[in-house]
Amino acid sequence: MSTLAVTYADGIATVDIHVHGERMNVLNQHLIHDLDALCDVLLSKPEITAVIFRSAKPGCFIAGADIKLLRAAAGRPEAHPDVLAMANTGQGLFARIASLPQTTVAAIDGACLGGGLELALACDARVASDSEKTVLGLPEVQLGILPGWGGTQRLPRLIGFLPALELIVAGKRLDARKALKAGLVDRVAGAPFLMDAARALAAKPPVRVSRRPWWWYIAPFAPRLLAAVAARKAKAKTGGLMPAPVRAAQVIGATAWSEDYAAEGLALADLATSPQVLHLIDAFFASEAAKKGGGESAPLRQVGVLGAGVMGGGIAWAAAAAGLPVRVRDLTLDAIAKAHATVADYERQVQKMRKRTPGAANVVAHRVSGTLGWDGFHDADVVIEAVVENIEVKRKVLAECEAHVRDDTVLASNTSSLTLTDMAVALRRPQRLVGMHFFNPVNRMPLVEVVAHAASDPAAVERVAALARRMGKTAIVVQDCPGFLVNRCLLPYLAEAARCLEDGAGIARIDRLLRGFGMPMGPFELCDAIGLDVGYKVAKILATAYPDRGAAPEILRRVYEELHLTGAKGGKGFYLGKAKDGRVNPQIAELLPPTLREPGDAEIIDRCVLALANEAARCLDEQVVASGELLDLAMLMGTGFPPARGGPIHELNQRGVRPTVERLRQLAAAHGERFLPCDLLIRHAKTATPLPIHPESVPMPHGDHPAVHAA
Amino acid sequence: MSTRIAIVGGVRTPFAKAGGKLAGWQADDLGAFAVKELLARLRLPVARIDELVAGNVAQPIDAANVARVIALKAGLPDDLIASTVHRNCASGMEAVTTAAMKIRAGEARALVCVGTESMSNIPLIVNREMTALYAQVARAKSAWGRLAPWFGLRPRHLNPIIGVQSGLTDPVCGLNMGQTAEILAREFAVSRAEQDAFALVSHQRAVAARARLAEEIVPIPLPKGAGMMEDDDGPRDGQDLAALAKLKPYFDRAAGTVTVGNACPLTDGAAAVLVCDEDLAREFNLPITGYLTAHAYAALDGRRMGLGPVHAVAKLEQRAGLRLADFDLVELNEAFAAQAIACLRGFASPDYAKRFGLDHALGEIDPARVNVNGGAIALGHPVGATGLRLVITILHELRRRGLRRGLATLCIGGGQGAALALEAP
Repeated sequence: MSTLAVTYADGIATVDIHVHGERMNVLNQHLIHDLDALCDVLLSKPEITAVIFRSAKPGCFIAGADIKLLRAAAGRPEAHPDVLAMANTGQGLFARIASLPQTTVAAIDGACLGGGLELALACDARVASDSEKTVLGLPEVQLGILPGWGGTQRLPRLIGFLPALELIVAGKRLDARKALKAGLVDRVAGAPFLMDAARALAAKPPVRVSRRPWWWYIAPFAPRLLAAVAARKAKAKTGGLMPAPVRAAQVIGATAWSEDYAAEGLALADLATSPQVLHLIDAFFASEAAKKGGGESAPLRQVGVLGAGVMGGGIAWAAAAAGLPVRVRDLTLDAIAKAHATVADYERQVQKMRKRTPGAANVVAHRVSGTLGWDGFHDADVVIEAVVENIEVKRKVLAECEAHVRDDTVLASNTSSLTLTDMAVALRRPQRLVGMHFFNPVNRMPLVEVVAHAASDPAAVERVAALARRMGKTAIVVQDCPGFLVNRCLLPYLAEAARCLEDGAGIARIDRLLRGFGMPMGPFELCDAIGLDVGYKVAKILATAYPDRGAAPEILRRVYEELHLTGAKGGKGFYLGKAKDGRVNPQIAELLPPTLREPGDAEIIDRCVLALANEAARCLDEQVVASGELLDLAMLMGTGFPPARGGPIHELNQRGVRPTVERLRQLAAAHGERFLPCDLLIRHAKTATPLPIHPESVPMPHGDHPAVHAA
Repeated sequence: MSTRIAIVGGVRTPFAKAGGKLAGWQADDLGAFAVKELLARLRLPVARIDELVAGNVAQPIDAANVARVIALKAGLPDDLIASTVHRNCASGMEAVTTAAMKIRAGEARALVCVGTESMSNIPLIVNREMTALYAQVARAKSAWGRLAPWFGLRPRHLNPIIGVQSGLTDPVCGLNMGQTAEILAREFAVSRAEQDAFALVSHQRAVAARARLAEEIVPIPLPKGAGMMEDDDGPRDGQDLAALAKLKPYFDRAAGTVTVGNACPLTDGAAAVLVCDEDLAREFNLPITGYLTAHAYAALDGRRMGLGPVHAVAKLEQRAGLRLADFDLVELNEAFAAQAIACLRGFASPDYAKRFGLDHALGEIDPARVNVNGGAIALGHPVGATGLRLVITILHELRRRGLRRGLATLCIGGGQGAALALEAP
């Protein structure tokens, strides 16, 4: 079956692209083959003067290259020649299209990304519809690669050196109007008039002048210099773990206006075979999988929130921003006022990013209203409890709430450390209780853990997940256990950092080492941000729940109970003032025991990271979460685990299961039994197989996935 | 038509002095707060609401048909129709009587009625000369053409038209509302001392009624998340006659009697009720606050607009056979103390009644039954909202006292009066 349907009329060939078996058009081998064959046909038809490429799939022009091809090569240096060949094939095809005697026009309605945009760049002119789905960009670096089908050559020539550098290195996407402004497209039209505009462009293609900057001729070193600056900026942003933006900048700096297509092809082959690409692609697949709903459920109309604190206010904002009316209940008007203040604050932040007009922000704010009673709760579809983290209070509030809502209202608890099973006993209908664990600050953290306990109704779980997705969050369903997934894995990491501190490694040093590992902030910066009161409380709860992972470190207790430090919110924690400024609190040193043996750099990283990863493997074994890919995704989004490392399960596979088990045994001998490798690791070490990433170890999801459409 | 017009629920925002705490909210915002809180307290499926009718005097320039904006900001569905009504100071009442007529006509069964006003947001307007200058610049075709008019700019161009002042001036008789009150003060010989004493009672009653008024008030958020407002900020705790006596006459500096102390202040606020047929209220077990049994609007000479209630009450008697003496409680809006006192005297005057062809005075009312929880002089007069506040206030008070009939009446700028006969459930 051909992926192309061509109609000839009035001397114009209209090419409809329709890749079968895919939700979106992707440049796979079939499409590449058919385009090549089309070139042969067009060369034999001198009566045809123009070719218009468009998509037969609504909402998508071409979303990019087929990621399945990429994943097959990812992490496999031996696939280097294959990728090189693939790059050459694409480059050759697009060169053919660019040299067709006919005027070629890309009529773009919907996503035009990666290889799709490289095809459009090979055309003589481009027109884009102004529909919401139309986005253009070369986001390859976000998957750890770079445009390898002529993008690094054609883009600078079309829009200029610096704009192209910025677009490719940051993997930025533009909507139609911004693309017009940048010169990426020649025209913007309403979707129904797209073909009229395309025909007009075909009749009179735009005359192009060279975009090569004047300084190119007098300062031959300038392109490389500017590219190096861009590379350094990109490196700083990703902590040096992502080679793609750096390499992309270098390629553009070295080869712009040189007709040197080999450099980008080589760079593509180098990058695509690195392990980072595997991690990034898997994270991308996982996040796409998490975005999909479990099933159809009745539309959500109204939400209730109990507790108007920072979390309650943030949750109310998230619901309101998603278009849902929210009723917030608390005990005092001052508390209600705080929820309104949080909403106003988050809306100001959205406005600052120019994503909302003041009028639209006002409408969002109006969706939130507060009450001291239960009025307005009778019609709530989901009520989210965000009161103080105390089991008695939560039970009382949930039981009271149950008397004021419909029988089918789902009750969700934003608990972070209590178990749903303990809470559910207070309810007449325990099956309606689901955990909905948001992370602070709600407006910035993309993850929500949706917690199912043993008696949870699956429909209620799906409804809460649907609400989280409606709020624009990634919802990951986890089973009820102390700490759920993210905190359960994160706490051993923080505790281990604290033990390294007790052993004599400095605060700043530990933080620096783990930032070097790729974490967005070090463990002590993170403690300060979370709040030392909260952190210690959760550490205690988890130490009780999982006694074999060691008691909560003494230093955490003393910092909170003796020094009464609370972290950033109190202005003082492990750091003074802002952790970013790096002023370590000298009070902490006075609490530390004498140093016996200062741990080395590698030991600190291993202890912290493996404490986390070992617990993650245990969660996978206990089926706290459905699959390794979802576990990794939750850790990327919930803790900032470096995306280039793919998550703790990918990290364990990358280190190798056998060496990891040995290392854990060494650490257990030196530092305590908490490091003993979990059963899953031992089992896989015996068979020398990597930990399972995809559900039921299916190697790859098939069929229905979008291509380069990265996170 | 046997079904009665039921008034269900009934809430209002706190009333805030204009330019004060609520100045950051427009009329549509205030109306939306009232509607949200009204509906949160009712278990009526929104699909059963047929229309939202809002009364509003100074309609925000960026919220044309403010009723529709209120409906959407309050979270009502996209397919709900909404219309704005305007009868100047009676706009809030007009919303209710319009709803009643639609129900009687069989066009609707349940309507959300709103009265709202943000007097803080009545704009200053660029004057005609300045407007002409801008127009000249806008029409110019050359750079010089765009520049030249500015050489004609004079200080007087910058004098704005003060919207609120124009709004409170009758364009036909040319008198400001305060000046019409001065006319009534002379015609009914209402002295400055009487006016101040009346104003004092208004404050004292409003202060004493804080807990009762709280039953009709819903707290609303202040702009920019700056807190919540739960009380009217007009009533003054320590108000005394000496302080009132110190104030200079405002509208007639030389020989006047009306001061800012014995007149109602400019105010922001909104109120909302559900008006529906009784059967629907019973079907959904809605809390009926009362019934609208009859109403009348009457018009008169704009210079004496303050006497509107006398004319409207006369019409109510002639139409519905209801005598002033039949009402257990009366809410008579206090635009000005002079005007309110003049109305009381007009009611009691057999001579004035002759104008309506009546052989008897409309009736003398015991001041103890009038405005028992204070009036607009203390609470404020957000013009589009007040009419509805009077309805809500009197129905709540009838219930508290176990009384049956109430009259809500008010004078209307431009020369009209409104009278609504209400009944407790």
